[in-house]
Amino acid sequence: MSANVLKLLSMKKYERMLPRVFPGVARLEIRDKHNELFWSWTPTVVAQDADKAEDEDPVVVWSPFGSGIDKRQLPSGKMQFRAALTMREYGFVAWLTAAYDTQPSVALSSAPEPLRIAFADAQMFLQDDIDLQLECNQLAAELAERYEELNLMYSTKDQVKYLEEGQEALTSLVNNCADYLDVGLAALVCRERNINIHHISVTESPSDTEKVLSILATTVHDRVESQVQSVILNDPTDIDRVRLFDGRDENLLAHPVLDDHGTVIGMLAVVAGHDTHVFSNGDRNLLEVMAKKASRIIHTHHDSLTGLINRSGFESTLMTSLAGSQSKDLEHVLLHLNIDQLHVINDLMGYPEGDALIRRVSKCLKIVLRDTDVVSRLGGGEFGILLPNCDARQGYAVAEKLRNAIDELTVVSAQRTLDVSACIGIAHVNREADGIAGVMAAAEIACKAAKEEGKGRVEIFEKDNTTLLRRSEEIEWIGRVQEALRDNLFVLYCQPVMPLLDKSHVAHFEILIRLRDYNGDILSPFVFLPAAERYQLMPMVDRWVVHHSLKALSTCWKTIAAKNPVFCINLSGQSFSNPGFQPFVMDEIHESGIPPQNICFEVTETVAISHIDDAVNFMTSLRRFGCLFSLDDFGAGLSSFGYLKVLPVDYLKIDGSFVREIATDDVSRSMVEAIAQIGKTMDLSIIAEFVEDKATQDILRSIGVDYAQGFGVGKPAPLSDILSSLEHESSAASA
Amino acid sequence: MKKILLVDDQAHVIRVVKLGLEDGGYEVDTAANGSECLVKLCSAHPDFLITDIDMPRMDGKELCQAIEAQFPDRKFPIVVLTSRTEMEHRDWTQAFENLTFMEKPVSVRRLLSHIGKSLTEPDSLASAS
Repeated sequence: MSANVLKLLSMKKYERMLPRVFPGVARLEIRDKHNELFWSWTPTVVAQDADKAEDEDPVVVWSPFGSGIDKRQLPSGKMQFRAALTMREYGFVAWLTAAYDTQPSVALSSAPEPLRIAFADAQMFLQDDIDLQLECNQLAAELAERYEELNLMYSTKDQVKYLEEGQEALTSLVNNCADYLDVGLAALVCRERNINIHHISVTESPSDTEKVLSILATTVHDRVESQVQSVILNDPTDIDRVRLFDGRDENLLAHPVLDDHGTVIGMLAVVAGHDTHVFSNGDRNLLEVMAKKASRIIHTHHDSLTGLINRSGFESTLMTSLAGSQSKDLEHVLLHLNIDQLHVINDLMGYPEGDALIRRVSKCLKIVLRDTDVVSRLGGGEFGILLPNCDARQGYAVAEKLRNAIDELTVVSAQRTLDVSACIGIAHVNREADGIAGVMAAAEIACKAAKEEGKGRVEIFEKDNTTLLRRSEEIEWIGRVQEALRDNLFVLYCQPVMPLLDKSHVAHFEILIRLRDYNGDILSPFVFLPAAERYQLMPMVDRWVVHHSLKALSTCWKTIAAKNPVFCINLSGQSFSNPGFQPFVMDEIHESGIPPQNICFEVTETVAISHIDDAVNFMTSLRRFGCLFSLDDFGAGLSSFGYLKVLPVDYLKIDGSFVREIATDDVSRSMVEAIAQIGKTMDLSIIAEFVEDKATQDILRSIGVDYAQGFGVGKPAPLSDILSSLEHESSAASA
Repeated sequence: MKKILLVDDQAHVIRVVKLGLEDGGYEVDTAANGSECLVKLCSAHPDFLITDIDMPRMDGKELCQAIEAQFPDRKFPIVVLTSRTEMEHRDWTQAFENLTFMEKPVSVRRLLSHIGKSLTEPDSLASAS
């Protein structure tokens, strides 16, 4: 050790410095504790003689000269003085010897002050230098450790796409922990997720590895789970060694792996020989980072509520099965299970109760199913189940078994008891299967069809079933609507609404949505809006329309300010109850710079009635803001004039079915008259749609209807065209 | 004891890597830049050479080119270390045989494992990350 300490010294600078500390010295040398020469200095001119002189008579013994200095006189008459160099932490490391050709002061019985000071100074310089070098080396070692940690973190991946990739990433994470921390064993154990991965070092593995692994998976796992923090066993006398670790003498560091909610789902542990590795805070921190990475990998494919694999993990598994069914002609069954009326349980008893039910259902599924079956939570109360090597008949039997098992469950909370049931859709996974998305959609469609039949039902997907087929088409439209929202494939059209009675009435325009398909054809909303309504996409569609309408209008705000037209935008009922929709609309109007009184929102009568509270709130707030409202399709639905008193609207739009037949059918004409009469009484402006000819216009005018809309008045045209013609008219008028 | 020549102009890198390599059982000599390294190579060849890229006087790329020119039959493997991220700093290393590229901050553990493999199985070279 002392030899290594001397090696830290770079002696070049001392060749100039030390001779000045010992004035008149003929030779200086440093010898290690074994008397091996480490360094020497002699004045250049006498170097050779002095070197010879040094070995003249090594047997002359040293005698104490006081102040820790020894002296001896060689037969040549030279005097040598030496002092021990001692270093903090190392003690005696070397002798520093100074030789003089003549005795400095023969008469002295103890070392003279200058000599004592010279040795003390030399000791101090060398000591400081060594201290500094040691400090630098410790810093370097510390830095190297940090570099190792960085490399460990950078090289351990935690983002994975496929389920198999996740397994590989976890295995390599465990291997890295063992390698970098230089321990005998590293293990990742997540009991509920069936994860148990370990790495054993070739050279330092603990004896009886199997035993250690089983202790880790039981007592240690339990402790980590209960105290939700790391467990460290470094102290050989720690009582927990007996309680947790079967009294073993290896050191242990175990850190919990947490899910997003901070619940322990498993642990990452390392075990090292008692004498080789004492676990530090640094090790614990590093293991914590690795545990977080493990959690991220696990949760890419696992659901945190149930511990089952999630949708992406399931799709990954399904992809493998589908490949197998195509190459080996295997037949599997896919079940889509949906807990009935989970939202009722959530509403009545709260989400914790709903979550508890989801967990119970997942346990129930695991009990009924085979180990080889794959269960996954797809989201909400939906589960995907893959039954490998299973035909349709067996699949149906399994689905019935699951349905019965879930029927046995009840939810009891605060004196309320609710029965639990689930609907199950069945799809075949075979050679003809139409890709993962196709199979998943088929099972989901069958499940939805089962739900429409009632609670606790099982339905098999069959391609020729027309109800299922319609659903299947709708599901295809969901994708296209989402794509249109993302890629702005919707187009805004606009239809004029003409004042019938008073030319001073401002012009109205209804903004309409269309979809441009792959061929550039413009598709009617009747094709895609039903799917968007059914699958709750309307709030997004409405937002798209509001945003893009106002953006287009803002480009000709001057014309709008001058001519004061009203633009009507249709809204769906889903948007009323969509949180944030109302402030969104206000922000959009504000940002566009279009006065709110130029914007009218159209809501159908049925929608307004079915969301009456949300509709009234929404309308009241936006009317206060300055916007107008129009009640669309009035008379078509569950019409009750009573609702008119509740709904704060400015316009009534008579349903086109009455208007179309006004010239030929007296009942229709009477209806229109009645609506117009009531509207007038309530001080509402009346609009008639589906006005296709001049005759209808005249009748409407005679009844006192204020506005007409329809092909006879003006066909829908792209909003941009309408806006440019408005601008054109405006500039022509001002010119 | 196998000898490694370590070339870097940054004293702290030299210290960190040298200590790690010495702990790994190698004898380490150092040079502060490419030209100092070339001078040392003229008197003796190490068993392994580790060099930085960005250095004054003669950088790592010039050093490797000079070694290729002066000692076309060199036996010792080379590792090039750099903290530079540009692809061109990796691309030129491809042209050399028995030469591996590693990123800084270097893991001495990984470096030692690579050196160990290179010296015991000379054919498994150029496979480090």
